[in-house]
Amino acid sequence: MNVLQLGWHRLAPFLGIGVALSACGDDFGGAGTGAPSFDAGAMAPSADMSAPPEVELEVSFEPPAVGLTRLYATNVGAERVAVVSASDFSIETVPVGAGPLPAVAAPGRDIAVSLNRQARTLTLLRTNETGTVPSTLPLAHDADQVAFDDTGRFAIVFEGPSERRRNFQDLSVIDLDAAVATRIVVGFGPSRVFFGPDDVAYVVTEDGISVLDLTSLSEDTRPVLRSFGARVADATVTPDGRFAIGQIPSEGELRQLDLSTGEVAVAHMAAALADLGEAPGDEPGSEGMSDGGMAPADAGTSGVLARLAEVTDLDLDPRSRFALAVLRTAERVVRVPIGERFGTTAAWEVLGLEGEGVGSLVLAGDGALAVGFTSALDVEALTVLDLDSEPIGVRAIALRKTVRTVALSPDGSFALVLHRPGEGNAVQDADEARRIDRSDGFSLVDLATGFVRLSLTAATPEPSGLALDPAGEFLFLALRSDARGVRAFQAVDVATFAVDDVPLTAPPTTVGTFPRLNRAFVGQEADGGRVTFYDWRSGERQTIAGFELGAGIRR
Amino acid sequence: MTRFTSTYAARFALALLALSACTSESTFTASEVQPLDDAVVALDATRGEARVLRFGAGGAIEGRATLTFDEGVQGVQTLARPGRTDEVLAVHQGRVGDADEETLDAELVLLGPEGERGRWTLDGPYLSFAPDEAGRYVLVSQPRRRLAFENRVEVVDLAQPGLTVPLSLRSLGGEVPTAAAFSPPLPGDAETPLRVAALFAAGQLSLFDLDAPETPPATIPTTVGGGAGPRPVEARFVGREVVVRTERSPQLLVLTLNDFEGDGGLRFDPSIRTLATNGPVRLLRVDERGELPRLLALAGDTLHLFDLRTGAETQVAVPMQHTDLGFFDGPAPGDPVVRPRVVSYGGTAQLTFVDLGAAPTEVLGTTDLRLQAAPTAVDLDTGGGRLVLYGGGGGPARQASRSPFAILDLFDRSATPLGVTSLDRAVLAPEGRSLWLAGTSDGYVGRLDLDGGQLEERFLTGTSITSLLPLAGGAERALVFVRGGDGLNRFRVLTPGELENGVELPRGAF
Repeated sequence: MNVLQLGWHRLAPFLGIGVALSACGDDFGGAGTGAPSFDAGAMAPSADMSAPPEVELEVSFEPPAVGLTRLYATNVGAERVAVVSASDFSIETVPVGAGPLPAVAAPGRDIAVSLNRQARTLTLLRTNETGTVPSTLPLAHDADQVAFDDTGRFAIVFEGPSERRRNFQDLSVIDLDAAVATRIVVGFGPSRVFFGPDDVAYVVTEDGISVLDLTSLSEDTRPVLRSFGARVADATVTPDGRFAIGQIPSEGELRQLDLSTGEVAVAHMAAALADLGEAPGDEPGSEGMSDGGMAPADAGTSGVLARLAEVTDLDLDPRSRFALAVLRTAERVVRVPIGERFGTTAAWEVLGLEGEGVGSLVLAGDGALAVGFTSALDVEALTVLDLDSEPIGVRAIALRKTVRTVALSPDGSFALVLHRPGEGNAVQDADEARRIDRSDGFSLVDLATGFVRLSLTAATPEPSGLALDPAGEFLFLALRSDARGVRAFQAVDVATFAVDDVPLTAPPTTVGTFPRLNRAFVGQEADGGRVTFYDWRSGERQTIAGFELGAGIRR
Repeated sequence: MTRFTSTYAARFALALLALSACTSESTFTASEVQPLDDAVVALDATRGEARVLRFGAGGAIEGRATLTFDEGVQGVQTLARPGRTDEVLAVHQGRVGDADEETLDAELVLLGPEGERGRWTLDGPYLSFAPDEAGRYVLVSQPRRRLAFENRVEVVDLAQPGLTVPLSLRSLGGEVPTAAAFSPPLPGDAETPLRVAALFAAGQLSLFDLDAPETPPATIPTTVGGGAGPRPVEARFVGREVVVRTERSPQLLVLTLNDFEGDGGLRFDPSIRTLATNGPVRLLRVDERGELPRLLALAGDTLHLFDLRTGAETQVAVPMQHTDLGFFDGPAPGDPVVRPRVVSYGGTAQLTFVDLGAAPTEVLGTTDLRLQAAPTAVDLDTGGGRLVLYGGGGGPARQASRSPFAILDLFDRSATPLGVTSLDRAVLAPEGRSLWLAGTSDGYVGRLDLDGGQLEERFLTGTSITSLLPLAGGAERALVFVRGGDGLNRFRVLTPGELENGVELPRGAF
């Protein structure tokens, strides 16, 4: 185990803090040297065991209704889907079933699925040069989620977690070419679907991972269910489809599930704190499990260690090589190899990030770089981890505002940081630093040079209001605040970090791109539908609106 | 002169006018007076009778005509014909019969200075008559019978004497027609140009082919989903497109009348799109001075200028209170080029001038002008390049208690302030050159020549002014209605340059 050399004395402050917190029952901000900051008033945390949890906001960069050249806009009331061409702006409206949910398009293909809740049907919308052909299939269960495989041949529809969920175990696999739906019963409470190589799908359920061979399904199929041996959170399947990784947050424990054999390996994160407590052990675990961890210390210290070992974020290498676990309180990141050495603590790399304030990580698409940040503490910095270097390189990049979430460009060249506004009125404050603190905004960060471009905004940029041209040349943001009357669209030239405002007349709802056409679009809230297309090469705009009304014309 | 014509449809209170003619039958009492070119129409609604007086040189009565509707008809009234100063409409609602009286059909009669020019008899009694803005059609709605189909209307084509076109709204939820707009003849492939009627109803708009009224219309909802949409309140045809403003809606509906290529049915196939604005649209205008039409909409604190072809727009900030737009061509300070311009005004002391380029959305510049006070009324005299700004109250014919406080030169963008003493009536003549003035209590009448700036005035001693009615026609005459010290009502014909010689007509002149 590659453990940072820290002495027992490191644990003492954590113990003291724990006592103090239990005594006063109050939040505390912590103090320390912290990460570098442009703002002298910024406070970086030391090990804060009472800090709120990290809030993970997923930035997908694409709305669900974008195909290759078509935008699929559902008019729920009229039970129709408007299919809008982003190339010639032509529109056709197609009837779907009763109670449709917003249509979901297959990425990169002009195929969309409308789940018609009331009708208990699914309408498959296939668009070609001559138009859109709908095919409606009966569904034997409720569904509100659609997942497409990368080949575009299969989709899986199921009911995701919600307070109103009625269908706990049924899903349907849709063969998009044959327009056939096959009902399958999986583990309890499906929440996510991963597609691996060789037409295999992995359905994350509360009971474990249901493994579906998509090419040999029939109504009689009961798929294999692989269990983690305990209920885990954040279960994720590695891109190579060999393992699933999950965690038990309260135990500071990661679990690796071999999807072909069902073997489970356990990694106790407390082992990454060996320098703070008892020596780590590589003892085998219970039957069927390999166990990497440490024996607990006495009762007084074990509780503290458990909190130090708490994983605030878990990310998998896109190349299936390792998992990264963030122990925010312990100010460490642990790189755990995926595969046979998962539970072998000696194979782990433990990276100390004292004063950096890292509670969450995002990984670049090639797994060579990760960016650490915290959404829970008042830290105005990012921490860049160069994962390919030996040892792992660590750089801090100062920001001027605290962080809400971070997204990386696919090639890892820049980071988009969505900031948290501080309390107070930004407009009326004459002090520049306070005014910045109190404003909404985002930063673009060149991860190679550390150059930061801060852009304050009139409304809070939302993760759902972002789109990135896949070539990484332009970033688009929709800004909306009904209370402040803000309705705007911003185009960011990633090469120069210049931000252009595109005024909108109606409040934006969705943003997306059609990379093949060099066009972005912003959907807007307007009776009858409204979409503005923006050509990011020429800056030309084209708005089409009212297309949903056309379906209601009686002739 | 672009507006105000309809305001000459002065409806006078019976007590004020009571222009009486003692005849052997009964007294003619003018309840309404409408101006014509050098003529006037007076209506006695109770008697169901309209009388036309035509004035000749010196204001003398040159001719007269009488129109008498059938006894017992109800709702007799006159209506100005928009865009025409030489014609007035006289209508009645007919009567729903009973055991003793037969049902009488509603009627519409077109009156000119010489008398009746045309008559249209509707298919039954109706309550409502509404001429369209272009003055070609009249929407007759709200049928009255023992059992009436309330979705039925009739359209009177004033260009075709005697012809009425019955239309039945396709009521999706029992709604009834509330208003209508009509297209000009639209060129197309067919031999007969396309004429389209747009009937407004709650939550929908129905488009009819006026030359095939029996063909079911195209019905367009104003919203999506199940709820009731906003009611259309204004529609403007621009070529083969119809722009529709709906009640309290921040977007305009744009309907395109595409050629219908199938057999049967309507000769057009509508498609729809919308234009978003910064708030509920309160005014819609089409500017067709350029090669391409420009659509203007006042909404919230913005004047939107749209290119209808592309949907592109330009926004100009204007005060929220603005209610009207005036189009004029002319120079501006620092810009001697005569080019199309717009002035936005109403409700506030600030006016906004917008200088327009060739493209529909091209704005060359904007200028705000702040007046000393907010006008209560504004008259635009396009030909004269000026605005007449009034203070004081409104009231019948927008003249009671109203006086001018400034005349704004649209080209120079400067306002000539006017101070007034004991002046409480002011009305701009239809041609725009004469501003007629009156003081109610002391019999003062005056005429300000807006081109030359000369003021003519005289006192009609011993009388009080009850109303001023400028007449159309080249002579720019006006009628002033007075009540004498003897308590009797008279009227006098005032001719520019000859106020002293004005002809006073005795009672009974009608």
